[in-house]
This record gives sequence, C-alpha cells and structure tokens, in this order.
Amino acid sequence: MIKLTTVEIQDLSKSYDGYEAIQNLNMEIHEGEIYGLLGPNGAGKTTIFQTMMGQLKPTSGEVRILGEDAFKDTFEVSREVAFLPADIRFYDNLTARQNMEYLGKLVEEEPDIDRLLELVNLQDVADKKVSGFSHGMQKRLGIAQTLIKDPEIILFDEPTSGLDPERKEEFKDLVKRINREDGVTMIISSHILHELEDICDRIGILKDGNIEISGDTEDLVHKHTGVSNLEELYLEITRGEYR
Amino acid sequence: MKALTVARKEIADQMSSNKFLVVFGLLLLLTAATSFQGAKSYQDSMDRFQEAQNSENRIYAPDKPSVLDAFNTLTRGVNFSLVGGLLALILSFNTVSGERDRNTLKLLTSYPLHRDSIINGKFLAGIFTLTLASAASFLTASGIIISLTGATVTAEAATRIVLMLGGTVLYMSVMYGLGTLLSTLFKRSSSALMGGVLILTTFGLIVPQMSFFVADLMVEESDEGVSTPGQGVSESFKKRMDIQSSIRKATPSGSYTHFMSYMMGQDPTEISVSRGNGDGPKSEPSIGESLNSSLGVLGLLFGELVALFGASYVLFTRQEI
Repeated sequence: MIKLTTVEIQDLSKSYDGYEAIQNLNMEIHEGEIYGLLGPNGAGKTTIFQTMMGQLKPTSGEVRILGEDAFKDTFEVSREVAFLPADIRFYDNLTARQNMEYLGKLVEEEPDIDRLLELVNLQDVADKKVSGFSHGMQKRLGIAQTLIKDPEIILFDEPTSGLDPERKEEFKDLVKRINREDGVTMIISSHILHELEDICDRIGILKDGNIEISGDTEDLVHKHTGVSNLEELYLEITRGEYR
Repeated sequence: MKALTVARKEIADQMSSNKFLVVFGLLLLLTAATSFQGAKSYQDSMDRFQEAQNSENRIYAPDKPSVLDAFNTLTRGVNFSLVGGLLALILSFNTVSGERDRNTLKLLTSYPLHRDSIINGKFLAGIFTLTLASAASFLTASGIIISLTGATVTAEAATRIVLMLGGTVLYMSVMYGLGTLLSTLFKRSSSALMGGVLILTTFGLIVPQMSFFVADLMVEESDEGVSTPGQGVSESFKKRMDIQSSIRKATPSGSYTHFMSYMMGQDPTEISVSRGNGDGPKSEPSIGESLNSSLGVLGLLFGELVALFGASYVLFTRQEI
C-alpha cells in the first residue's frame, strides 16, 4: 500500500547567531505513522518542531506539511497540526477548563473538554487554576490540548519528560490509541530511547542537527552490523563512534 | 473575530491583575483628592464672585467661575500625562514579552490564528481598559465636583469634558502603543518596563527642562527682559517661549498637555503678561475654535499612535517565536 507523505523536509538548515542548529536535514513522514525523533539535548529536535510550526524561519531549505509551506502558510498548517512544546506552560490565572475553552475558541470548535481532560486523568482538577499544577500535570494538560483541533498530525516535543513512570505508560497507550483509532500521524521527540522504541513505527537518530540514521524501529539494528541492540547503536551515534 | 477572543481574555487578565488595580487605585485616589481641591477652589471663586456682585463697587468684580476651572485643578493635580502614561505602560510592557516569559507564546502561535489577530486583540483590549479607567476617573471627578458645588454643567462644558476624556484616551493609547512596541522589541518584560519608564521620564521631566536650555542657547535674552510697559512681551522672550512650546509638544505628554489646555479654553502658547496698555481680556474661544487650535497636537498624537502600533505590528508578525 502506498503511503502518502504528510511531512517533507528538504535541505533544511537553521542557524542562530552563527550556530548551526540544523544542517541540510532531509526527512519524510508518512500518513498515519508514529515517527520517533531521537537525539541528545541540543541535537536540534525543538528547532525542527518549531520550524515545522512556522515559528522559526529556515535559514535555507523547505518544510512542507500536507503540501503547504510551513513558514509561508502557517495558518493553514496550524489548522491541521497540533504541537506540544517541550516547555509547555498555560495561563496561570485560568483553570484547566478555562485554558482549554480559550484554546477551543481559537480553533472555532467546541471540544468535549470533559472527555479530553479525562483522557489525561485531569478531570478531578478541571476547575483548579493551573498555577497550582505540577510540571507533569501541565504536560498532561498539554497532551489534552493537542486533541482540541482534531489534528491530522501531532508534534510531541519531549512529551514524557517530567511524567512519572505510570503516566509515561498512560501516554504511550494514549498515543497508540489515537493513532490506531483516528489515524493521526505523530512525531515524537525524546532523548531517551526506550520511550520511543515501544511506540514508534520508525525512528530517526539525530546528531548535531542532522539525522544520522533513520528506519523502521524493528529493522534498524539488523541493518547495521557491529551493534546488538538499538541502545548500542544510539550510543555509538551520539558518541561519534558510528561509521 | 479571533482578535476579539484574544481581546476578551486580555481584558479579563488586565482587569484582574494586581499591577492594574494598584495604578488604577492610585489614579482614582488622586482624582478624588484633587476633585475635592478643585471643588473647593471653584466654591471660593464663586463666593468671591457673589460677594463682588452684592457689593456696590463692581469695577474689580471677578469673572463668574466655570465648572471647567475645577477640572483645570484636577488635570494639573492628577498629572494624567504621568499617572495615565504609567498606567498605560504598566498594562502594555508585557503584552508580548509576558507571553514569551511565561512560555505561552509557542502554544498560542501553534493555533490557527494569524499573528495580527494576536496583536490586534491585545491592542483592542488595552484601549478598552484604558477608556474604562479614564472614564471612571472623569466620572468620579464630575460626581465629586458637582455634588460638592452644585455647579451647573452647561452643554459646552460637558462637551469640553468629553473631548478631554477623548484626548486622555488617545494619549494613553499612544503610551500603550509604546509599551507594546517595547514588549515586542525586548525579549524580557523587565527590559521593556525599564525602557518604558525611561522614555516616560524623558518625555515628562527631561524634555521640558531641555526645552529651556535649548531656547536659551538659540535665542539670547535681550536687555529689555520679559516685557516692556506699553509694548507687551519682548520679542526675544516670545521666541524662546515658542521654541520651548515646540520642543515640548513634540513629545506625547507635551501634545497631550497642549490639547488639554486648548480644551480648557486656554491657549498654551499664549504668554499672559499684562501689556499695560488697557487691552481687555480676550473672549473665550468656542469649542470649534479650541478644536481647530488643537488639530496640530491631535495630529501628532494620532501619528504617534499609528507609528507605534504599526511598528509593533510589523515586528511581531515577522519575528521568530
């Protein structure tokens, strides 16, 4: 079966004050897949996501999402793509429900807020101000807000950082369920391998702003000789020992 | 329409913020205190007028005071250009940088709304809140002055008061525009606030002082002094006052002060030194004449508002998040 390409990144580079965060990156994400972007801190994961959302302007190259230019057609792209920033924060003076209602108004939808909050186990604190929320609770609310606009694609930037093990498992189950039931394409970034290997169809290992290796999660190890498991491969790449 | 969604949230945020409540409270307190003072001054003038009317010697009878005289005390006492400007800055210094500081800008801009909707919404909210604050201040003043003095507000005086309110909102909007621009320009809210306070101080305190200095440098003081009997104000003094006035009204606070003087029926550029040649007092200008005189400063304030908002708009819609 031919899978449509939903995200196409061509020769993307992005520099800040002379520092090249992304260098000639090429990447394709197919419809309905869960893609893992694995890389150490500072490898360029957040920059890739922000460029995909049109929040950063590429120094060179192009990002096309569902056929639209991510920087020029930001409005159209943001209608179909939801984003969970790594350092997500909400409006402290509003409750969880009010935050969700406000974001719902921005997409001109009336989301089922109770259902979304229940998905992330925040139903009991729906009417509490988010100023009292822990980092993990804000993260869970962040996951819930990605579903407000019924997106085609969701970008999760370090979604499980700050979550306890039980919540991490809940997140993985939720991702699998949304992907299976609604066919939503997902790109999930992490610097921890085992957070991605269970749920991702494909993984790309990022180092110094470029993808060193990309492939099906199950085949990645078999295709590369000299390593016995994915973790070994990841460590070799991040340490610069991979050839 | 999404700009209105943003505006509604901003208004709720602004009205419930401690910083707004503190400065607005201060504005109302100053308004109340100076309104009492204005009412007392009006009452004293009225007593003197009535006393003169009852006496047989009416040659030195003072003019009948107008309720606008009480407002004159109010606008000078409250110093709207400073307190109003501060209120506008307090509301605007973190409009964009605050979202950045709190890490909510990345979330907000990931939603399908054009960036101009964000900045327009924030601007609309600021103007609405400032209009409400100014109107509350003017209503408080009117209430206190009228209830204490029993003065009758003529249609003309009421029109002038409404125009003064409009001018105050326009001035505060200019300062709000300045705060928004700084908030877009600086990454941190603290830098934007510092920049705003520095500019407000420069406009309100340094430029007026500088205008004396520049006028002194440009025109030498003549031997005849300020005025000569029978000839009125000396030419050099008049030139120096003109230079001072031109420098001051180039700043938003100077334009605003000039506008308020025109609305009070005064001419801020006129030098009131007795000519000693028996000329009687000038008749009060009509509202049309006052408005006509203030067109220049109104134009300046509008121009500054458009330039500041335009710059914030262009910068925000093009900058990276």
